[in-house]
Amino acid sequence: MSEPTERAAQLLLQALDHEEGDERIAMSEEAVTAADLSGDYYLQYMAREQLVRACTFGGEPEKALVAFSWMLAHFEKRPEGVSDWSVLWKYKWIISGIHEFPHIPNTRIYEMFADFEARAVRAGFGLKAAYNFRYRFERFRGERERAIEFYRKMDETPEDDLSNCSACILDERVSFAIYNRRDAVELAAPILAGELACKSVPLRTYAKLLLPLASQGQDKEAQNYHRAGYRLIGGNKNYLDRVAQHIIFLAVTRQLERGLTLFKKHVVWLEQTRNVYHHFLFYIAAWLLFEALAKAGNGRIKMRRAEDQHAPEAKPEISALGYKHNATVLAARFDKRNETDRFSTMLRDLNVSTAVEVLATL
Amino acid sequence: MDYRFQVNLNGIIELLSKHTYSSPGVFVRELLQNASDAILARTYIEPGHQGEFRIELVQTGSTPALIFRDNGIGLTEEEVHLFLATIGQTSKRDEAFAPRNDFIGQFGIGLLACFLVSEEVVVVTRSARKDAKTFEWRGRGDGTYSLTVLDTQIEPGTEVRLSCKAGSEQYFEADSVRNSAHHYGSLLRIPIKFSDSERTVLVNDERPPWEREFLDKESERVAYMQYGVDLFETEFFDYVPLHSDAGDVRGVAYVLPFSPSLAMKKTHRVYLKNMLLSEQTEGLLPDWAFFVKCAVNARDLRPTASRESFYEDDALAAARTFLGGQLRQYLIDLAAHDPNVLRALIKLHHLSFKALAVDDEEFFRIFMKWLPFETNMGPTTLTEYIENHKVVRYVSSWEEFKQTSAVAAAQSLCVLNGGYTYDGPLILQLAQIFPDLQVMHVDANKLVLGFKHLTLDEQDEVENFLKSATEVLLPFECTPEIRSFLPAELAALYNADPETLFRRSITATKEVVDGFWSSVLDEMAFGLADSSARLCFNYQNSVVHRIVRINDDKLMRHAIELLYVHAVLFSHRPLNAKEMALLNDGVLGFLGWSVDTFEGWVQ
Repeated sequence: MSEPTERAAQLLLQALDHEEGDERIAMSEEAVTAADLSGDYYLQYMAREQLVRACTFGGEPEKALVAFSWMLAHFEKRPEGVSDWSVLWKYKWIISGIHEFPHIPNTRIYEMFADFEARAVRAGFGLKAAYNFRYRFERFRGERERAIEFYRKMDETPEDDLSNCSACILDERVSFAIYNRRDAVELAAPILAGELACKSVPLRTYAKLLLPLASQGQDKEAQNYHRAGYRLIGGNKNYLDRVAQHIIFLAVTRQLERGLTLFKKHVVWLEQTRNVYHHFLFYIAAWLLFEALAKAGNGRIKMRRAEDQHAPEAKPEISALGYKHNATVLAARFDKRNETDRFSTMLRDLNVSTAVEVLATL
Repeated sequence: MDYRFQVNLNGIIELLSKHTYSSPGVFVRELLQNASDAILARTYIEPGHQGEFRIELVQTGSTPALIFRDNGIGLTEEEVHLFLATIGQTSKRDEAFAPRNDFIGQFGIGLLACFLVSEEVVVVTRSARKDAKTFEWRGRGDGTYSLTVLDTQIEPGTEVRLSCKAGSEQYFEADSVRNSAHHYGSLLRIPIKFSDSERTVLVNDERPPWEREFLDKESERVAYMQYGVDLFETEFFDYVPLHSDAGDVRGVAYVLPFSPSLAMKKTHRVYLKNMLLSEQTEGLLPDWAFFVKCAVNARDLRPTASRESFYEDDALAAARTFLGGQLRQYLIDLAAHDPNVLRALIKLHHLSFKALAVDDEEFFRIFMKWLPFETNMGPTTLTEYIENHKVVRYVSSWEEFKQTSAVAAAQSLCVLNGGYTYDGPLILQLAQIFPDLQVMHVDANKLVLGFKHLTLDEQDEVENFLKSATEVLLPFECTPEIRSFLPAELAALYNADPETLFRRSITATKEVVDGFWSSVLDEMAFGLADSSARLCFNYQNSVVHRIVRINDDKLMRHAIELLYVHAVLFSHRPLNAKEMALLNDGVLGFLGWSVDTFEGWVQ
């Protein structure tokens, strides 16, 4: 074996012994580079495949998109030895986060849905997975009726190998209950009891239940879920959106010191991720946190990090304004792309006192 | 009298075996649990009652059979009907997974596990309460059962008889039954006796070390380490006794003699009220503590229905904090008293300790002088680094490390690699701990800023060269500059920030994808911040020095193109199609040119 071939193979194996996150991504990227230098087609394909996975679960979906488009192009030319399923399954990862980049236009997203559906049908699969994307995108846009319509279609379509795992399906039901302001905790029982779990459940489930629980005054339960859910996030920047949900929870329940600790620990993820929706949520969280700190009479807050772009000390009022501004700008960008006004409307009524109500169905 | 279950027993059994039971062998666990509960219940009404559990392996004809007998509370007729009702209710899977808090419910569901290995399950039971009769219940896998009152009375307690179903022979072998009983019940306080045709043995003949008293430290150590070998077949590095009032947890943490793989992390052997709960329990220890494997018994924690972990509640959080604190203290004691042991330990487990240090400033301070870090000049510790350098320079990714390490070393700059999971955050924390310390992020662009500018005369000299370079590199979204720097052998340094590198991967990928994906990639690239790659030529390099003086514009352009491609290759990056063409043209052009020149000489 040539040197790059060996190196690529070695890196691919090595990467698997790391948790999802930056190191795994870095190793997979190096593996892609080495594989490209080696010119070994299967190694190039395998390395891309692993990079797609590492980036999807490590918080760099834009890189996953690039590697996936390479895979897809080569799969079409040389489909032998690769199953339709393995390609479509990764396509799901790509599509499920594509709307979180406001610079991808609506039309393109719908084209992508149609392309996925055509490929799924051609490969003999049903449309449950596709309805799931459509539901989530319409919900994201704020098109409630259409969202509910697609949810129903999804619900009525039987499961197949392309549809989500049972933990994710239930997690989606929980989300839908929250969306409709129905009790979601009981529904989530099998997840909370540890009976159903997967890569991202219960992590996601805990985070989305925080505000609904807080709104029902179930503080103790919410606190348990905060503790359990935050622990699972660890150092994986893929969950910046969930960190934001935890910080929002801490802000509205006035656990400000802990909120600030989380903020300081994770603010650097803004520079390490490109997922615009995650940034948006984190800006909202930071805004509410600093607003609460200002209200609680915190004069100045020490922010010192290495080479901080922010001032070493900040008045929480000023920070709140800054983050509110950032969130508002992104809300406008999303709304423009979505051709709706969901996010701008949401922000108009938002402050730390209304957050439980306004953000509970997020 | 014969009855029929109101449910499809086969369906339930399949359900349970699929979701709840990892192996059909768990019927031993279920019967042990039932016996243990029954004996506990009897001691409530008869304090001082000595419980006992017997397992007997017999042959009935050619079929092996097992008899399990406890002298617990036994069942009254009413209770027999109750447990039958429980089995009946198990038709919905939710109920099969409901917490089995009550004794009778557990009894019924536990019995179901027996049908995994036996066509017929016979239960003979007599309650320890006054004037109780002896009942015999015979249940069959086809869903029928009979319940009769026996004329002969047995001693209070319960007897369960199983006869081997075809295909289950392995679970009726003496070794297998005894091992299962030991596996699940070794910590139970009631004696478990196993007999076959040859002999009777006590299965749980030894108490775990944390329940024993020791004369001295050395015998404690021997006992703990031997227990580790018996339990996990591993010669561990060391042991730490564990004890938490929260959750009523006692046990031991063994320090692994190797760095654990991802799959091995965070799984511990946990007993709940002396019965083995799981060997894969998560969540009992803090996440950083993956350098140990534990065996613990918890009396007061609530298991989840899957019985793989505990409910996240206050008791669990308190226990976790407490146990984590004991492991932390163990490490701090080692640092104070046993640095050589610690040094050996850090070789294996520095990742685990770094994970703790990230969230624990005090620990970080103590361990700074031990934890290994990587620099472009070899391994170091942060303490050593700070002693030798006024400014802490670090890169935050592997990519940056790759781009900068050689060049920085040539400038005598020592750069820490913060590209590892915990290293980056720890380096950043230095700024919090030492407010006077300057902590500086380094990337190739910042390094270039530190390179020597050319003098005014020199700037005049390179003016034409830079103009050509700007034009040549424009299509490659690359900006040229020229400085003097070490090492002199390096003709040009190509550097690109993360945005540029990402854009590069998009450009390369667009060469192979179709129109639709090409548009998607363009749109994705459009959302990126503005950036471009930079190529910094080295005025000190003798080749560059000569190229800037070339009078022939065409030749100079060719030379610049080749310097660019060379610098890209030198940064270990594959060339895209455009660059490949450049390389091709450049090399062939030079070859043609030199052949011409050479022929000219020859003539």
